[in-house]
Amino acid sequence: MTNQPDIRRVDVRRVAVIGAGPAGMAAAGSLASLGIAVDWYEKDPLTGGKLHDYYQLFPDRVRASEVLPELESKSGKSLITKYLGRTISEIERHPGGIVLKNGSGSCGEADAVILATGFDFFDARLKEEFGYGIYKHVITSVDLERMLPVGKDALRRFGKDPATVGFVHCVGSRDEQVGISYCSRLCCITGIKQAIEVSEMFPAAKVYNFYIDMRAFGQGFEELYRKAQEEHGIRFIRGRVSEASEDREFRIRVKAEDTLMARPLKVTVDWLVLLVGMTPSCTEVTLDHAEKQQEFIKPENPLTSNAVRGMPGVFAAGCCTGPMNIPESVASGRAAALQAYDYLTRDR
Amino acid sequence: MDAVKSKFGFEINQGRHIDMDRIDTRLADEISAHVRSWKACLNCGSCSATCPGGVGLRSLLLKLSTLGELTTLDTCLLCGKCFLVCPRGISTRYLIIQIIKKRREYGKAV
Repeated sequence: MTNQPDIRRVDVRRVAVIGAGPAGMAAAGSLASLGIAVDWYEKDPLTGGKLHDYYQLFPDRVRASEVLPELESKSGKSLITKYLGRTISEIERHPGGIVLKNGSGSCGEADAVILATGFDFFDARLKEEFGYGIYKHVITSVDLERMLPVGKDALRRFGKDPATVGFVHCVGSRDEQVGISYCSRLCCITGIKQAIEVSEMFPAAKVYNFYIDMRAFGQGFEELYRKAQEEHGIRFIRGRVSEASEDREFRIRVKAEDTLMARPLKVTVDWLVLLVGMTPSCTEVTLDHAEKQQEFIKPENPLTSNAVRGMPGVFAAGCCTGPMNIPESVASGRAAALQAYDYLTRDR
Repeated sequence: MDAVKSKFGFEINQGRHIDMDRIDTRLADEISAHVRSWKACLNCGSCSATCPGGVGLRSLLLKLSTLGELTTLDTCLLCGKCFLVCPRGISTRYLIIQIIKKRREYGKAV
């Protein structure tokens, strides 16, 4: 015994990563690189999460499909066991480790768990005044993201190019009417990016973005905002849209206040795009019989740690802790992996 | 029409709505084609705050771009302080000169 080198025996320990979006991919890949065996659970039949829903990524407009292989683990693939199409609804701590459950049945065990269950898009139908699900030409930013790669035809109306397109910021963000107090952070830059994409597709179209505040926080975001104004002539109107209605030609009449002009405003648009916010995922794992949470998971110390309060060995990463962009999610996944590694290797 | 109304002793209030479908912004479009940086205005108000002539440049430019309307610039000294303070580096002094020129073309004094 005494002659044995001081190798911490981590090889028999297993970490379960729940979720295979950017945060989960980063966490699983990092753990494998550290030589830890990973059981990787994903509710969908493939890895990549919501990256499959995106066309080009802000701010540099890299194709989402090009980013996916970059996120795939390069090393230690043999240590990762994928369980695709498998939902974990609950995790329970036991003296011997953590039990993963789906409904009442146990479907796995682990020594540590990384929750990377992500987010859901806000259901725009809850903001009835904008007419999503009622008027055909009111769509969400998620719908538009799927239409953009199809090309011009997807946005032509009755064979004609759209003359005006409106974007509504903060749909399901900063809105106590739908019980959401926080800012989803990423819709501003999504609106800027999509407005540019639409105006590149239809240079003659007038594009209006209705905003409360512009929050272009990330690297390159403010530059893209300026580019949208200066090079693409996109008009940013400060004021929240109050309601949308349909006219006889199935165009959308938008009412808002131009709060800088301090005057009410109306405009008719061919498409109205709602920039939907991010909500806690409804597929989120319930922790130890807790009431099913409809909140983002709060780490024990959000400044320095990904550890979930009161659940030693459980770490949260990515958008299940709050709105994050892709680089933040990746960093969060890697950070959680390292903390799980520390947890497994330190003396307990 | 006004004469008819006055016979009845009342006038009809004009709606305060900005009707974006009907606004003629050609004047603003022609000017911004010359001074592209204008489009990057953030409406921060630095120009108005610093103006020694008391020109409310922010609101003047906003009215011009939104409604195509031009209010008076006659206390502008063309000193260029607004250009010095603009966080987006908009060539406001050059912009003002373009506005004055356009107005002359359109046969109206500024």
